Amino acid sequence: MLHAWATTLFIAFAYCAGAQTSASVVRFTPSFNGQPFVLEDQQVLSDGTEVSVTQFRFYVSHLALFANGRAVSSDTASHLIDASNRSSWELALPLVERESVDSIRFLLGVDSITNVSGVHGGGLDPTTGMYWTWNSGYINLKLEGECAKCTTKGNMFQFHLGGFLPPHFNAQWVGLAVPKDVPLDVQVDVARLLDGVDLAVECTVMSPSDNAVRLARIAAACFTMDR
Amino acid sequence: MRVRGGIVGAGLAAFVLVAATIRTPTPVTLKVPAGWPAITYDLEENPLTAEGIALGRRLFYDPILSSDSIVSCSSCHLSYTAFTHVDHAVSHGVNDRIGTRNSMALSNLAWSKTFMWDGAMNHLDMQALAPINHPDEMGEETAHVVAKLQRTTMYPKLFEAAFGDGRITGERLLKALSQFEMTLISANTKYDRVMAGSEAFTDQESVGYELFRTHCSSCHSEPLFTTGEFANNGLSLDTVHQDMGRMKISGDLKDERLFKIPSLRNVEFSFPYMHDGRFKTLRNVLDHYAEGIETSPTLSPALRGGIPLTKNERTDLYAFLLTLTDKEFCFDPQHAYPRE
Ligand code: HEC
Ligand code: HEC
Repeated sequence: MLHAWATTLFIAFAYCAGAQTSASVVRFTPSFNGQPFVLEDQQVLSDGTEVSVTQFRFYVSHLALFANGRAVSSDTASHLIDASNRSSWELALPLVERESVDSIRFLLGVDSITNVSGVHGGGLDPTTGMYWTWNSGYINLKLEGECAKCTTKGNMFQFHLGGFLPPHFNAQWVGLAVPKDVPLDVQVDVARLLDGVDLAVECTVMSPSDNAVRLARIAAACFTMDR
Repeated sequence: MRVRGGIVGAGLAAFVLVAATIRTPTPVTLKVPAGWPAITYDLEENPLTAEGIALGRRLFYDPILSSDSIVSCSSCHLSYTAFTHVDHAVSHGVNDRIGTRNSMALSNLAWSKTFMWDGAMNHLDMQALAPINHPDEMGEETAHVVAKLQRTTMYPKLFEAAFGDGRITGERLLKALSQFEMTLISANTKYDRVMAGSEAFTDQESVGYELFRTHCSSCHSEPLFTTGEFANNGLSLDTVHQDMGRMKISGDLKDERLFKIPSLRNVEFSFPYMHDGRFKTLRNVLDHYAEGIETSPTLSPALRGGIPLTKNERTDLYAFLLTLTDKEFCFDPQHAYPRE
């Protein structure tokens, strides 16, 4: 047992120490209306509406770095990025020369194969609560919080976006041009997603549907790399 | 001779010792009955082992999976009655809460393509998430179940034996349950023995079998007694739950009131019958197919106008259905509550 721990620690240290040199790191940073994102804090949407976000989590799969239209580094796995857990914001890819990378691409969500091939571990473990329990399928993105406009119990909004069967395939490809001479830092502006819904009428989306697809498209547009 | 024996003995002891310290789980091969199709489950993703199956069995019988520590999987799926909840139209869960659907008999799950009456779950591994997290069934949360298991003295050891280290995760919990469930193979009914040539049908059973092949096997096809597809078999919409079946999952109007075609193995025990348990006896079921088919746009073409069956033919068919009972399956000590 001690042995196992020692090994784990060693690997963990080796990993941390080597992160800068042996990997290309892509960082996903949540923001809110251009401001730093703070969980469970009153923040203001562009129309002045006050909201507080209690949970923001999403999957990034098939992350790849491109140079001249060719994938130069990639990772097919699905990673769970959780606004409340900073260590989940950084994804390491096999090292490539930073200067050559001109775009990145990833799937916002979990692909169909993963959705139909049984249980998986790590970020896909069902204990994360990112798998529906009344119907098969991963939740690609969960955004929950409170807003006085919501007529629901506790003024809660709950957006659980997912679905892998046509016509409600929910995961979205996101492609971004990478600016020169900056770290691989992707911003995801949570406010843009909430700007896209009328919280006075729509506070709950919790199953695969046309609405969930519409919101997933808006969510995909929340990711940017410009400074 | 003596010395040699001693050396062999010592060698064996050393081997056992090493084997005991490395503790690699013992591989188990799933026995696919002769003439059956290949299984659907991908065993490469979850290789069967004696320790994995034993862990899954323990979990299946353990009420620790429920919020009130009273309900286990076996509360609704009793081994002696082919893993169903006999005589309950709809299931009973934690705090005596009542569900909306009839519990299903469990067998030959490694061959199933979808799970639940509406096929809501697409994989055996994921199926258990439904009862564990359903407020009317086990009323738990997967993460909390895992935390409870971690706090026991027994389970970390059992997970270590099954998976090589004592880490308990949702993935391992579900894989262990799948392993046990896959061993629930029912393939020794009188029907199977007749097909294998070791026994013979009575005259009445033979007539019943012919009627079955003519009228029923397009949906309840041999040897699993289901095609695994969905169909509308002419039941009127239930007035209480207005259960739309498959349509709720697919969102497709063509799937309105379609339900999974259940296997008829051990059908003697799965009363009351249908997704909502509306028929008390097999006789009621046969009367339904003969006289009670309700026409609707999604009714299966095979059942338009009902199935012409005289009263005597229904009795013969009934006799055949009883040959689908697998006593060995129901009383297999490997399937029962793990005592020790
Ligand atoms: C409260 C009663 C109840 C409990 C407890 C329960 N089940 Fe079930 N089970 C049901 C019902 C009802 C269905 C049908 C559900 C549906 O169609 O929505 C079912 C369906 C199933 C199926 C699908 C069978 C098929 O052929 O599609 C499997 C497998 C299963 N249960 C396994 C389990 C396991 C494993 C557990 C424990 C983790 C469990 N059940 C706990 C009532 C229960
Ligand atoms: C068109 C396909 C189809 C045909 C043909 C068909 N069935 Fe079914 N059967 C079903 C479906 C679907 C169900 C489940 C319906 C539900 O619960 O809503 C079912 C359920 C049953 C059940 C209840 C099983 C249980 O455990 O609850 C029995 C018994 C049964 N059928 C027997 C028969 C017999 C006998 C015949 C021939 C006379 C027959 N079926 C013909 C599709 C069919």
